[in-house]
Amino acid sequence: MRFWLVLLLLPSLALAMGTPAQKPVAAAPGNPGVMLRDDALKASPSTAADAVAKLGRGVKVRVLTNDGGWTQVYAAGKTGWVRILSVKSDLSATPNLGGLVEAGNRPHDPGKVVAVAGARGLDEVELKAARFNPDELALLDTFVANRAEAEQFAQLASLTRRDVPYLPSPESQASPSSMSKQP
Amino acid sequence: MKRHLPWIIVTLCGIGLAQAGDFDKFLKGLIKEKLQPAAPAQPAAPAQPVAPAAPAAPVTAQQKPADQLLKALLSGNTSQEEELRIGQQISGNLLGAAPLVRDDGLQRYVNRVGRWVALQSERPDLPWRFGVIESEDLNAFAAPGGYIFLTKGLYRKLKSEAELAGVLGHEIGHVIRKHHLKLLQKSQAIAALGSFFGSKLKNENEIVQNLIGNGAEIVARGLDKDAEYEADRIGLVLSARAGYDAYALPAVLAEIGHVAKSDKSVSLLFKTHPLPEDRLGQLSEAVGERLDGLAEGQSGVGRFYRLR
Repeated sequence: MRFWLVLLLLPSLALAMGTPAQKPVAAAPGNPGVMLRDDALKASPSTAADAVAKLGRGVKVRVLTNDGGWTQVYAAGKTGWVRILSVKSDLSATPNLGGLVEAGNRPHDPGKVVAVAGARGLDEVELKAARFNPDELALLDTFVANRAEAEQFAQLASLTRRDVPYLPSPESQASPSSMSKQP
Repeated sequence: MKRHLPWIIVTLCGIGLAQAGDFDKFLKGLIKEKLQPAAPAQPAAPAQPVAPAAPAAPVTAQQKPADQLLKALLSGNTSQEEELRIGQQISGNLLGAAPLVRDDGLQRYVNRVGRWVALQSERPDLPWRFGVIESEDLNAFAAPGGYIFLTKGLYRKLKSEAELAGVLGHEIGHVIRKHHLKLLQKSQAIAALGSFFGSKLKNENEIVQNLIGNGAEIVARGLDKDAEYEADRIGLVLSARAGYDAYALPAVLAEIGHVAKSDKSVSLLFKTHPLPEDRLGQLSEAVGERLDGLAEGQSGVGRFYRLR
């Protein structure tokens, strides 16, 4: 019995050992980050706000918080806001759990945590065992919004259509050497 | 049935020997070979489960024999009806695992926002349906034909209508680019073969179920990374076209990125999607300076329907 317990615990133990302890946060506020492109540091999270500084691509910043599509950063003695896509929070300091996450989700993994009672999850086992529910499907149909209803909704909300072209894949433009094909 | 035995043995041997894409191709070739003569000219193949219509009669969606559906899938030429049929089966199964949240106001609201975003796509007239399902996981799902679901757990993480639009836009992206159909086409050759020879399958429902595997497992299977990145780009653009803040989807990704990777609520999401930081990096690269001239869109935070 105890043997099995140990077996069950092993994966989590391995996980704990393979994970370097989180480094204590230095005196500087927030998390480390780096500017991905040149952008203006705004006084408030709005395009209309004044720029308090210009931050160049590659500049190291401290990431403080997010507000919608804006990120508050501290750089060069100033605090302000940049577009969320202009800055990358440097997560390299934290362990990359990508491989572990995958391993933890293999079917029949002995270390797999069983769903906590009450919190309804939706895992592979449940999805695989799911039975067709025609009543729910019929109920879904009763909530459908047709084109006219959707347009009326948008009009009431003052949502106006804008011309925005699709974004090309960055890979289609990047040099092939800069790409890494993962399995 | 006996005359099919050698084929099945060959198939089983093949499964044991090869897992490469070549085998997939081999299977497809095999199926095409078997299906083509069975089409209009010759008498129906013995294993053909449903083909009551006369061979020469025009084939409608309801009468379409099973092999027609298989052929369409394998050739990548599924009709809208066939797409819907597959989407319906997947969605019915998914709802069997996680029913709709019993909040009519919420469901109607999500359908209005979702349809408005879908109207900005090149498939505005699909019968789009959106639903919030009972699950504390953070996840969203799309099925062919315009079925889109997000979990209550993910909905609760959202802070504005623009963020909802971004999430729905991502799923709409999967539908309009037929990512799941392509996945079926790629990986279901074996199941297709099985159903072709499975004379026990009586009706189209069973054929479709056989195609998609067990229950709703197809939504747990995951698409390739590039399909996810593409859906992110589409989600961002469609919600921006709809008048929303273009940066709302990135904001959701950042929010999800703050959830511990070991948290059970994101285990399926992170298994089937690239990590949020990678998705943000890809979006950042794709956007570059392209949105710099775009006026700020709405967040719709005041209109956002709060869960009871």
